Amino acid sequence: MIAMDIDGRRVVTEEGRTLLDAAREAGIDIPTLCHHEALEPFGGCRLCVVEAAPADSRGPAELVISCLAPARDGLVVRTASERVKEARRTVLDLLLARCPTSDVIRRLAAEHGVPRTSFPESTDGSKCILCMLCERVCAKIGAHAIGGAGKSRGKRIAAPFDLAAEDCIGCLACARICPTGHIGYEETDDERKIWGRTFRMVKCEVTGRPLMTEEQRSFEAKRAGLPEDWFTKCPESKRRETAETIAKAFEEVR
Amino acid sequence: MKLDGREAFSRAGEAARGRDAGRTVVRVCRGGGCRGGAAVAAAIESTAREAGTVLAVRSAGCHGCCDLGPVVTVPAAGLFLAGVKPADAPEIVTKVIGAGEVPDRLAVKDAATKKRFAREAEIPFLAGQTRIGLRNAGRIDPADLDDAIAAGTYGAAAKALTTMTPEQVIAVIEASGLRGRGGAGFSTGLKWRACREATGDDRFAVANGTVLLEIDPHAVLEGLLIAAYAVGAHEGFVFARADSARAVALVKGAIETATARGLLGERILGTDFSFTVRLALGGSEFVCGESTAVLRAIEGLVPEPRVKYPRSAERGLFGRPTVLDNSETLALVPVVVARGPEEFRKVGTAESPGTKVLNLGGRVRQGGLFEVPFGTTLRTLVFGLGGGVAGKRRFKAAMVGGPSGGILGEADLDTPLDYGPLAARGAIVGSGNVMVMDDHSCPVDVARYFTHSLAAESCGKCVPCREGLHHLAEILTRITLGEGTPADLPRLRALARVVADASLCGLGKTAPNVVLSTLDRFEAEYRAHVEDRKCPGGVCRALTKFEIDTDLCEGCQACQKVCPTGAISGAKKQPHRIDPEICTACGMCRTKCKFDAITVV
Ligand SMILES: Cc1cc2nc3c(=O)[nH]c(=O)nc-3n(C[C@H](O)[C@H](O)[C@H](O)COP(=O)(O)O)c2cc1C
Ligand code: SF4
Ligand code: SF4
Ligand code: FES
Repeated sequence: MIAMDIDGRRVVTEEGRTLLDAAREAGIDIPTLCHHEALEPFGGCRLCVVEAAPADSRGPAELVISCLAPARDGLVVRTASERVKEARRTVLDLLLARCPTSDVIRRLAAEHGVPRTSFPESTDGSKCILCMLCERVCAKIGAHAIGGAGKSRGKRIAAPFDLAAEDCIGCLACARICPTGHIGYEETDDERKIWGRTFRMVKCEVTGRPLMTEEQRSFEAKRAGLPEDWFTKCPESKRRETAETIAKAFEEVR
Repeated sequence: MKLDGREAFSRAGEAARGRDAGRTVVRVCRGGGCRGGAAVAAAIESTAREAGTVLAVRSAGCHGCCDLGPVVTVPAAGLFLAGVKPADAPEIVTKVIGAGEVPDRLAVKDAATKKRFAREAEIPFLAGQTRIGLRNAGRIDPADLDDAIAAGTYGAAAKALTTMTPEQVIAVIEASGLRGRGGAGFSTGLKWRACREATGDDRFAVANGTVLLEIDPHAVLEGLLIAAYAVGAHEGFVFARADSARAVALVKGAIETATARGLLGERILGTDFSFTVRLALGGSEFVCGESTAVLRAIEGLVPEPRVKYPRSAERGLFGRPTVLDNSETLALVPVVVARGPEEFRKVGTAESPGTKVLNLGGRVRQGGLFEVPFGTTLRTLVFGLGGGVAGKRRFKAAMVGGPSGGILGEADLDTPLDYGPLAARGAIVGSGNVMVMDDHSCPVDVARYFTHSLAAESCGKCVPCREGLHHLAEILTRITLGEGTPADLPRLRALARVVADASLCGLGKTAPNVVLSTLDRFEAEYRAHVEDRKCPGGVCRALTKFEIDTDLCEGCQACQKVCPTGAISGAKKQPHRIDPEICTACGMCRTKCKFDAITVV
């Protein structure tokens, strides 16, 4: 058991939890951008910074990122001190200058007292904040189709060599996880376009609704060791089918 | 042949030391910095052969003063000759080696007193150093294992492996107070202990940093071997930047020869301990030297720093406990083990025992590598060893700690060069680079230059460094172009503070040093840029107007000759004049004027 002081409150948590986990469990809100429960922590956006110091320390507290800093017994944590707020405001100010067209960033910045950026705005229209959630989710799935290229301010998300993403299976995990909606895609009932590729959709046998891309089906089948024709019905149809079978069984019993 | 025990090792040492018995050894440096050493060596060899003089001409690694090279030494006589050319060979063979007389032109001129010295022990900038990490600099051929063994290298490792337990080694390193020389100054002993005590089946030991690899690769390998023994690692890497071809070749050769002699590899020196070392290459980018980026590079990933939870000592390379030390730190380890912690603590300060290799450069008379005890003042370094500011200029500032170091001014000259005192003044030990600036420099422009280049070096992972450094550089650029406003100064300060506070790795945390330290010390010059539209240093062209002081001008026409725009007129022996309409403020004339007549208005 670990007991900490977060913003003057006694918060108890377990070994292995982060400061962010502990704060959230206690209902204390800390903003995050590059964090996602299902993915390895990254520590890039720095929005989740908090001040932390051991209770017996006389030196200045450390500014740490709560999404990665482990909870430790006796830690005194401040999630909204002037220093924390200043760092957060500056991060949002910088992101706003980078992505002035992103509603998500605009709203978040405004909430933290940054109605407009104090830096020259970039004009390339990009909404990418380089949180790398897309790269990480793509890697987690196992496709490794996209990733960061370049460094410094020129860093961007791309497929290898800036070509169409050869390993992409068109699953849209990246577009769905992207907090700012930077990753564009087009979709019809028959086709899906993303990362310079066009995918054909597999349709549900029952409803005729698009199920997944063909590449995604092969990928999932291979990964799960299932035949490709396993994926023929949408989850809804499957559920309905099961319900019907059960209902039928009941009827027969009766 | 493999050395299978301590006895075989000491016999090998005697053999190596005795191999030149009856011959005079002459060493010619083949450091990376100076060219021409090979030709000098060949000339001395052939001259000696013709004269029937029996010499052993051997190579030497870098002495750390490449502006004096090629250097020829005669170790037995303690002689040190600088700037030697092949044509000097006859005189070297007959006079220097034959009679112990050194012609004046080959003796080293002391930058401060202009006196000439040929005896190494008398040359002030060498004699004033305490060379421990650099103990073999220029004294051995870094490509020759026998040279290393003759100098005692691997003796401390032999002692550790055969007479000490790993615990005892760690205790000795802890007691010595040795701190990492790679920049952060973390306790090496604590780091080793954390790695030893971490849970895991096997461990790794990694050497990082290039300088010592070029000078004394076996000392680094010996230190790495001791580290591996102490933490219990059986595999290790030496990480070198692929672009330093010389270091790469030397380390590769050193690992091979040491392994062949049984000083690395399986059952080292006949003991139960095995340690295999491999060379790992990385990019030339600044951030590639950061410890977690190094480990990622060895794993074949993009060399991006990661947040240090957990610490590498607990979960590092390929998920195993890993100890990573700077090569200078490792080169000191054998000294601590051989001479004991008390001896090591006799130099330096209580907090930072021992010495630090500093690389002095910029507008100083004698630059190069200077190894001095921690606590030596900046004044001693610049004015004592470095001989003061070059030319007739005055000291204005020194950037201490490398590209992400801080700028210290005249009032800071008595600062002891040590982690605490430097940090208190906004500078760092960092890479140990010290760059001197004279009164013809502009702190704002220096801040712009380094911030701009570090912004480009940012790996792009975290927001404060990637975006913040960019905007700091932009603001500074505007100021140097004469487009700044007084409101820029508090904005610079506020942004720099957050970048330093909130960045992920040392690059972003230290990059703002140059901004904050110049703002602290040279605020008046910043104000002159944004309020009066003037650059007092005469560097920022948009804000500089040069004028010739007619009282000082001797009419020598030196300035006229270098002015690329033809803006300067005036007859010989008559005061000259700069036409402000034509002048582009490039400052060429000012570098040439011997009478300091060209002034900034
Ligand atoms: C941006 C950056 C660059 C660095 N470059 C180097 C380097 O070139 N060589 C080096 O030894 N350490 C470098 N370091 C320091 C390493 O991260 C690490 O602290 C050091 O190698 C550990 O060894 P030590 O404890 O012996 O100092 C760098 C650190 C940062 C933040
Ligand atoms: S595209 Fe979206 S998810 Fe990917 S790095 Fe950019 S902002 Fe993050
Ligand atoms: S501080 Fe800079 S170099 Fe270090 S991780 Fe952040 S962006 Fe990369
Ligand atoms: S959420 Fe913690 S650094 Fe991004």
